Amino acid sequence: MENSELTSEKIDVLRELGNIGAGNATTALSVLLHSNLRMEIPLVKVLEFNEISDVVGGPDTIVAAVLTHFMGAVTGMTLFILELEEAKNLSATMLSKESGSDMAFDELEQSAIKEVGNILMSSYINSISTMTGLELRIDPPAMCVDMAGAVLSLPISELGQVGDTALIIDSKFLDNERPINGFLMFVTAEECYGRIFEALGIRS
Amino acid sequence: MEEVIKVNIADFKLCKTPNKITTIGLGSCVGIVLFNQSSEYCGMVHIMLPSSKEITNNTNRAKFADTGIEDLIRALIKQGIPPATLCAKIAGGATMFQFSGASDMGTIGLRNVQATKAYLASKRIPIVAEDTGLNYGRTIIFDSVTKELTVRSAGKPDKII
Repeated sequence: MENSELTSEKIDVLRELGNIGAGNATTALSVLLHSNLRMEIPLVKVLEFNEISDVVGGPDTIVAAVLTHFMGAVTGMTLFILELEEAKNLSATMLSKESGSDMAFDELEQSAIKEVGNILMSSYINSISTMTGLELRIDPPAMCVDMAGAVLSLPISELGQVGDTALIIDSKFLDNERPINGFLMFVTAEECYGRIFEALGIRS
Repeated sequence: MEEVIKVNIADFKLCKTPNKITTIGLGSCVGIVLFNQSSEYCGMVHIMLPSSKEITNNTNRAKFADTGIEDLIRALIKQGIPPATLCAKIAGGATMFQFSGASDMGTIGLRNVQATKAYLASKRIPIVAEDTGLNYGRTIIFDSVTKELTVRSAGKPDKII
């Protein structure tokens, strides 16, 4: 998307969508983890493909990522990305057991993280669907643990079919005021943002 | 002092001895190194999609296997390398996420590798080494002096091809 086309009004709208989406997602996760999670005001950014992995610490940072496709009136994907150590902490909290610090996640740990991702992303997509009145549904999530650059190659390739930049709504979480090194990312193509704006009655 | 030249996503660069050339975190993307045994120049391209012909927005030529490799060959010819002497080392094209539902994008890595091989074959450039497919990311570093390609993956020993 050309930067010039994205007026400050539209950026505000996207930020608010992210705010409500991630806000609901945070509430869902707080209940699940019995913890006091909050989120920061989401950032709305237009990034070159090379800059996307910098959001998570550079292309060679090891991350755990849960990805799901959504479809319906608008198609795209959401990703829940955590630094390796955060992912280990999260699965330890979920399962009430210690987990090693290496890259390996056993089946149970993987399904715990996938489930957290699934809850976050479903509540996010559901809020966007409710706000816009657009019918959206999501696919079951998939997970991988690898270098951020490699993990992000799938969303980047998908976006690469229609453009050379990505518009990202990036929401960060805080656990009892401690920032969690992870975020929720909402990725869709330019024309889909157009449809979201239209559904909200914002003229281009 | 030798340098390490960094190739971004959808980007190509040339490299001269004694330097090294690298691209970080190849997932479904494919990194292609073109070189010959005697020239001091080599080059690398990091492609992310199989074909410029299937896509309307194809202004960034280095994004696609066909136009990306074509431009890299041209740049090497400009440095005086006869195209018939070129050979290739390729890496990447992994399937990073295993989806239960059938998704076209799930196979993007595989399609990138296929398109890369088909294009190189059409230009009669032999692939002398490859490390492609499977389900993990790769960082690759090519040494313009030894012509070795080091493949670095998280949690695995380095592999030299």
